[in-house]
Amino acid sequence: MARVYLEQVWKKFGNVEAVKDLTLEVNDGEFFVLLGPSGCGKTTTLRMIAGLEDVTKGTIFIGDRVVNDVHPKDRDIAMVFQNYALYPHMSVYDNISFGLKLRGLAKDDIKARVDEVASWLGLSELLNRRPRELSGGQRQRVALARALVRQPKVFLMDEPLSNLDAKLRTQARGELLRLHKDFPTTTIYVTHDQVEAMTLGDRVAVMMDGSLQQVDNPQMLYLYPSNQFVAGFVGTPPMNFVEVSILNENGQVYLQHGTVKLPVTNDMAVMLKEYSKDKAMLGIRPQDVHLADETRDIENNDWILHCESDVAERLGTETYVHFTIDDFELVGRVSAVRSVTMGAAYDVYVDLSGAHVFDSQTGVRVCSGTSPERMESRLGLKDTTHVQDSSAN
Amino acid sequence: MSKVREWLTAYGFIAPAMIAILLISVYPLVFGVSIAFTDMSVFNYLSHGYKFIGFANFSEMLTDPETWILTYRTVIWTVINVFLHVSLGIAFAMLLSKPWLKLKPIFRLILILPWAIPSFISIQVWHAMFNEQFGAINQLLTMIGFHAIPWLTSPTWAFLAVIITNVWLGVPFMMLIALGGLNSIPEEIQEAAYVDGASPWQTTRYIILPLLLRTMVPAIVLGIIWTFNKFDVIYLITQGGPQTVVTLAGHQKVMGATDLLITKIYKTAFQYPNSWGAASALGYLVFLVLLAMSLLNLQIQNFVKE
Repeated sequence: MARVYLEQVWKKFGNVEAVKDLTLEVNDGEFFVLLGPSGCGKTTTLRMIAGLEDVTKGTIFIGDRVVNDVHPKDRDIAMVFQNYALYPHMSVYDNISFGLKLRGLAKDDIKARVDEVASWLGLSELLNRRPRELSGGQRQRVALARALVRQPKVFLMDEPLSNLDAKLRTQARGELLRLHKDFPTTTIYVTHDQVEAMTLGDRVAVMMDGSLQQVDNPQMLYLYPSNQFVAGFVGTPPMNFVEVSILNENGQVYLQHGTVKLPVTNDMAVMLKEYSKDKAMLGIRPQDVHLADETRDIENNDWILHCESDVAERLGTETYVHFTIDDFELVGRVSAVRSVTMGAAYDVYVDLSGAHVFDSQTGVRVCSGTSPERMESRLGLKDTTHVQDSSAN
Repeated sequence: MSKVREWLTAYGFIAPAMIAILLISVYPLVFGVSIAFTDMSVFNYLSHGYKFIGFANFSEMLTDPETWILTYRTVIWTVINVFLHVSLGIAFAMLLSKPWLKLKPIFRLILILPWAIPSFISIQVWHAMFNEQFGAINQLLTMIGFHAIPWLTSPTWAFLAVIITNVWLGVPFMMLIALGGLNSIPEEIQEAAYVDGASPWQTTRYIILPLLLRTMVPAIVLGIIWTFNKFDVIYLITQGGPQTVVTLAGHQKVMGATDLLITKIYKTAFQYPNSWGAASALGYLVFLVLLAMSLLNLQIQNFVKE
């Protein structure tokens, strides 16, 4: 086992900067997720750690060793590929044992280790089959077994669940969690699926356009996104954004968009009074948008808006309703038992205590409805929000 | 009644194809077999003076030591050629698919060229290059201080000359097949092997080559059949010569040092002794060997699929 440390790593493909000045520390034994949309550089980052791509600039450490110029075979890593990349001409047994044979282990040792891993992953009956005789889920487990059996310093996983159907994916996610609990090996996991990232990761790094946006534990990532991109990327359905003017009237701070004028929370007011700009982006999670007559604790009656319902997406457990006020749309989560009529008027309660204000130009979070300090005392959380992990080394 | 009509309609539809197959395929085959049991030759064919002689052609063929020398030589010829075609083809294909190689399209064109030129032209060029006095190869060798090589007059060198020519002719085809095969192997599999701890050589040895050879099995079998029946190279470069005396089981026999079964068939039919019957019998020996090869190929393909 080992920590993995990336120091100011760059990757360029011709003129395209795939990874820009990335500094990351993955702790020993940690399940670390690289999350981002396709083309954000997360897979390139993983491939650089694996040694399958050269590093243009910067340094990669595995343990205390600089591995920039080390061949993948000498890095003591194991990787699970998106398409599993099983050796089609070898049986499941040979697929799993290939790495051990290359290391010159004794036949009996190899057999013992393969049998152990195979029984662990439910592959014992399949050892003589060829990959093409296996289902997608079985192939995925063979790929995992091939990585596990080597007992490497680091596991690298490149969207290993993306080729499974939804039901199998949920099951496999559970298996991965169990696996990491039993073999707490440093794991770096790439995905574009925020649900996977949130459920699996001890910590999650969000990337966009080759740059790191935020590194944090899933809960802080959700509660205190460092910028508008992270706020919009993490959470389903995505956060509502609306451009607002910041008004300061008689000591009370308001956020205004058209006819809508909302008084901010005390925590927001403290920060916004010192904020130099008069425009900002307000972010409200659909979870904080409720029907007023359904809500028991309404903190502030000025947060009730008159809206019209537009579209309703029924999910069974709940319904996402798209409300419109003036020219903007607000998505809210409504209890499934409630029937929502399209085009009807509703009183909607917008709970600003969970909202965030972002800088309109840079997208950086300016303040939140509930300050991290207050949240900490409420939930016992610690704010570790930072754009880059500077505690490394 | 309607059953018969149905039957007639069905056979009416397939009749043209059946007649074509009978004419082009079955009739020549049967006719060929029938010749092998006669003493038919260029001298008695028109006068219908040939007669049924039973298995005489076959027994003569099987007791003639030359038949076995030719069979043995044809097998050696095929093994050497196909081995070099496949291994050089794979080697070139692997070089051509290296990402660091510059000017790839030019190299590819140069390597495919031997295949694109009509083979009798390139064989004639090789024939000229092998000329002992004026050929380019010997000119070059003497220029750098070696002795001229008797390419076409020494039995061993002549056999080498026809092999060199045929290897040069056959590599591009195998290279193209190998290039296609290499492209069909996902890069991820190679990367998985690297991560598993395989060196580039081990990756080639245990992953790339086995996968590549599987895709090449049909082409290799085709190559074996083509090479086994390769006529033009031998005929245009050495005509089966030079003539050499072979002693076998106490008998002395003059035979061509580079003759293969196929050139022997040609000579038997159209030169001395002009015996079509004997040539046909030899033809069936070749046919049986290749039939066995094809059946083996089917077995291999089934095995590879598993």
